Amino acid sequence: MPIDRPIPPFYCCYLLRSTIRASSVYVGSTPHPVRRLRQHNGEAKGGAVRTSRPSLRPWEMACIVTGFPSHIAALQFEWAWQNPHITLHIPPESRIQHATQKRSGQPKRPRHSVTSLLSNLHLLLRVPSFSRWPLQLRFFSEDVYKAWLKWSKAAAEPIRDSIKIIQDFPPSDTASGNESDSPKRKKDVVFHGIAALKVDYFNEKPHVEKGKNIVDFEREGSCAICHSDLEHNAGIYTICSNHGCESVTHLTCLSQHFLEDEEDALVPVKGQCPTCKAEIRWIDVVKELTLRIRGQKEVEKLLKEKRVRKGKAVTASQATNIDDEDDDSDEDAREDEIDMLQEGNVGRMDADMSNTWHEIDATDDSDTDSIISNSSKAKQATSYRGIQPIALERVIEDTDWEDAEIID
Amino acid sequence: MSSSPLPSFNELTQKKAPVLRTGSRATQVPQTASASFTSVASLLKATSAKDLLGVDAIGSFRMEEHNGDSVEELPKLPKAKPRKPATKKVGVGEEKVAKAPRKKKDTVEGEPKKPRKPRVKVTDQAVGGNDTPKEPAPKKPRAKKVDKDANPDEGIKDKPARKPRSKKPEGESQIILAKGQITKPSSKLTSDRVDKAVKSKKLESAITDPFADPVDLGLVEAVQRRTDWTPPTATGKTTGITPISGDRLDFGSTSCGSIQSGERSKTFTDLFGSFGFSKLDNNDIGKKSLETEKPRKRKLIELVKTSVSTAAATSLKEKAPKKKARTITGLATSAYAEQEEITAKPAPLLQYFSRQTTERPTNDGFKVPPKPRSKSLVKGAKPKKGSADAPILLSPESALKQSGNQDFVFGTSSQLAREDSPRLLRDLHEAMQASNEIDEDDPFADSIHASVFANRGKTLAPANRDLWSAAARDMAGDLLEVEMVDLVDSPVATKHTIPTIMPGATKPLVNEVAEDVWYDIEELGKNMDQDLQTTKEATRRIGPVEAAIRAELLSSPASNPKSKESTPKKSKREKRDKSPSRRTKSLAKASTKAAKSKGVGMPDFSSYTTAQLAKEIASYRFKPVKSRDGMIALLEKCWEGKNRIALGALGANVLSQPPPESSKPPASNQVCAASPKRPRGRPRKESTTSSPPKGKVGRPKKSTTVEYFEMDSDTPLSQTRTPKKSKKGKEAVVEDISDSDTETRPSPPRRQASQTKTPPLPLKLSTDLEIDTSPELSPLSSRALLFMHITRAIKNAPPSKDPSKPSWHEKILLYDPIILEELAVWLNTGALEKVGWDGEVDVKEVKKWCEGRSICCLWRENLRGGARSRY
Repeated sequence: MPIDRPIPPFYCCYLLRSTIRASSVYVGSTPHPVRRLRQHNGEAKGGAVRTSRPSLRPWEMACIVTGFPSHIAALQFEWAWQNPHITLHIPPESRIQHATQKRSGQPKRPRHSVTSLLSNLHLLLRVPSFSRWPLQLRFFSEDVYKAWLKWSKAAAEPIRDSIKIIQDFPPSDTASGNESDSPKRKKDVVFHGIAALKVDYFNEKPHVEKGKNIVDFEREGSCAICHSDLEHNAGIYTICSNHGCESVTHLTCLSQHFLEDEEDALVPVKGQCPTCKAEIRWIDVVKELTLRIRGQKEVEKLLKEKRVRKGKAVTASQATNIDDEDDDSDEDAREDEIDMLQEGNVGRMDADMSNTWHEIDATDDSDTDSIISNSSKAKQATSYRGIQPIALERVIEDTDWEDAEIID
Repeated sequence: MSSSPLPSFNELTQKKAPVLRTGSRATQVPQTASASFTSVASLLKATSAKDLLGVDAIGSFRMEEHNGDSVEELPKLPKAKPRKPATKKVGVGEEKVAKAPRKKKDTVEGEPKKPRKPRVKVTDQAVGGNDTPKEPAPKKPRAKKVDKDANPDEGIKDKPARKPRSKKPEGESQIILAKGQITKPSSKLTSDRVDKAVKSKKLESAITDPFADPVDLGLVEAVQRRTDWTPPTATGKTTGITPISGDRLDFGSTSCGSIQSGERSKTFTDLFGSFGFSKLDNNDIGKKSLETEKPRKRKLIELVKTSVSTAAATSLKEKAPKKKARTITGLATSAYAEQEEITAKPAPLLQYFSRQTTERPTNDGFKVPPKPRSKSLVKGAKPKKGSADAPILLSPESALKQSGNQDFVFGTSSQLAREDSPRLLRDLHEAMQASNEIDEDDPFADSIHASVFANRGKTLAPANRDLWSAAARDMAGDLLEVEMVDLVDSPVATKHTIPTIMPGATKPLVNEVAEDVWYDIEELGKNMDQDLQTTKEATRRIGPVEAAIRAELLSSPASNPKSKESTPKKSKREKRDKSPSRRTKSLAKASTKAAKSKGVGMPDFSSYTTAQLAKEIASYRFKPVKSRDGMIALLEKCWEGKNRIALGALGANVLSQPPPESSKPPASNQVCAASPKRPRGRPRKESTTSSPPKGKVGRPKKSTTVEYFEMDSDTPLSQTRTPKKSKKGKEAVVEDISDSDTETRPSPPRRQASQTKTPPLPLKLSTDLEIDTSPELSPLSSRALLFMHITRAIKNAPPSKDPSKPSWHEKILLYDPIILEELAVWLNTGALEKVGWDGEVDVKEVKKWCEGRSICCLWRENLRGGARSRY
């Protein structure tokens, strides 16, 4: 079955850290960090068991990796980040953490710390499997960012420069010029941190509108690159994401244009628009394209949302809380599934065991860990069974995170 | 007989049943009734243990004498039965009395384990007849008792009786068969006997009569059974030594009696006397006794075999001991032992040589047989070969067959034969060459000089000394002579060793043979010394096995050139030796050069392409190694290990120089030409064949050497087989080669190894690697190539016209997670072919391709077996 939905507006893997004890960390992924953080902090149902200990709450997202082009990609990255000791995405020669102990035949996941997670994150952003993904790195904690900088200097090689690293520290408020510029949809929302993140297609709205306009009126014209006529609805065409530029090209033509210098590469990262010469990111172009060809509902909602937007946003954000719980648990379950799919060599048990519970607690014994993990596993399993069939049937109409599409 | 006794047993059991009752009851009932029985039983127990021990000891003696296995108590038991009748017959009154107590003892011993309790029960049973069926616990006791009691109360007892019946017959049958459960049946039997005896004595005459009758019947039958069933040893004894056995039996019985009576001294004396007699008898009979004594331990097997033909036990026994040699060495030597006897006697030294010369060609052709001999005996090997060969004087075909049948290799070399790898011989050869290489390298110059100065040999030799020669202290010419002495000694040592291996009779023969051979060697050595000191040294240095192998391998090639010119025979040995050594040297040089040029030695793996490396690794059946350095390291280790096998077998050699190996083949030729390698048998042939050509010393020149080398590689065997032809010339050699191929079937690998040596294989490998692997097969390069084609196939695919069905390229561009199975199917169904890639792609390869390009991919089927229906 072909993929039938657009690139999600937002998906991130996050490094969760206890504000009480900095050594307790957790790695997860979510299309909706705010909701997810509330779950972790017990403000909403569905938080991870690993983060359920009251003494460690509240949690904070120290840094997040954003820009995953699909939830599968995000889950793969999350699993690799959680299991840097066994993931196949890391070539053995560059692996930092190695599987040490073996429990029940499966390599035991090493205890994570902020430093270890950052180092592995740095490594994962360099490995071939992820290096060309349109990812961004966003730090919400200054000390974590410093640790990152420190490690970046020590690392063998830098990460690809196209990976934007954004500092978004609480004290600095809306420090860096990022998407938090337009968080107005939430009235009381702070202008920094995860609350300022745009988790919907709002940023794509102009682009989507332009594309819709072009397509609806069949103004594709000819490919800006190959100059062949772009027959309406007879191909996949990209539209420049730059404001005011309406150059339309074949998808393949634009990719070749972007990849002129990279013969072997298939996935472009960014390039110059052939018409306006502005540098555009491939992900932006493609996100609009997928919305156009696959995201009929999303586009409708996005365009419709414009009118009702202010009133609806609040209600939507509030309303989603209940759904979030199910979705998150479901999300966890599916993460496992996907992880296992991706990391074919890793046993299911391990995947379940490893699933998302990364809290590192100095007081935690291996026994407690195992118990916790088991319980979480059981929980996830149940949630998986119960939810998936429903999820298969259900189409998420919910406004806020329809893009999330967590449920399979 | 077996069939007859069984029915009789049934009848007997029925008949005996009462008797048994009485017997069992006799022991048991009397126990209850009168203390005397109990006391007797106790006495029997106490004594029986002793008696049994004594009997066992006696039996053991007998067994040792006859069967050789102390373990075989069973035969003793049957003997014991017959003994009783015999004893009864012989010394009726006293012996019976004596037996009676003994028997009691026996019964006590035998029964105490099981029967004791049952007896008590039996007593109860006897009192209350029907009690036995009620008591389920002791089946065996029941059985006996039941049978005994059963006759009256058959109806109730039948079920339990079955078991006892079966047991009884089993006991008897076991006695007859008597191997599995010795103690129990024996105890039972003894108990029965004792009971019978006791009964006969103490019980009523009526009771005793039935006992006596059944007992007698059983005994008679038992004797027959014994003859039938007892292992051949007993039969053999009985047949050949029947009187002795009878005496022994008597002694045993008497001994039993004596124990009580205190006549043991007599018994022992008698036993010993019988023992002595038996030996005498055996001696009279001939070798039987010796053979029987030796094989004792192995009797069991022999017995089984011989038992089939009981009549000719003696003859069989004699044969059997010879067959005994079941160790590899034994097997190897056994054949020779006979041959040695035959050969050694008839063959005077001269005749021997002549025979050897004539025979050797065949042997050379059939390299296999001579090798083991030579290996085992080293220098002595030559004599052995000669002896072994000489005696039979097999036709070439038969000799080939025999050689083909001999799969064993002596000593360490046999250990080397892990898998029947065709390379084994070659490796050995190479290793030996490598070990000798040092010597050889110098020898080249020496050989040249020698060839030039053929007669001057000695004078030249010191100048040309190798490290070996230096080690041999050739610097002083005298030392060389000393070495000559050593050579002589070494064969002598081998001679001694040989006799040890062979039985005494064979030893003298072997010695003779060895001496003969030894003489030959000396002669050769003398000649060699005169002509080529270096060669001698090399040969000496080389172990016998090595020498033999070399001789085999090298003899054919080296001999060919030699054989061409000269057709000398025994008398020409000296000349032959000289010439072959020189020639061999020259040949060795040429061959070494050729081999080196060919790069037989450890290849420079670093210069290989990754594809070649991958193929090489694949040839070692290793999984592909990703890193090139790892591949090279692995290949080097493999190569070393490969060579080490040969070297290690030799024992002395370090990994040494792989390249030297390539050069070594010529060296081996030299060695072969030299006396040491050949001494065991082939060398003679070579010497005979090769020596004649050498009569003309001048040949060894380089040009000739080259020719020889070629000749060697191709047609070594033919010369050995048909020395005369080889003398004729190269043409003959070629013909010979064809012959050799056909004839040599039994030992193709060896010949190949010797002929082809290292050069051909390496060349093949290299060619294969270059041609085949370079483009595609090496994991890295081939994968890169494959990935390139995949990329090309995906990019070249036409874009989709339907936005809802993007092409694979478009899917990738849209960041769609790629389903590996589907992409693989698409690639394998024409997409790759269009791009010019002939072949299919594994899904795993597709996965690697995707991951290498930051393409998000996943399996359609998850580990839970479900298919992903939605993304």
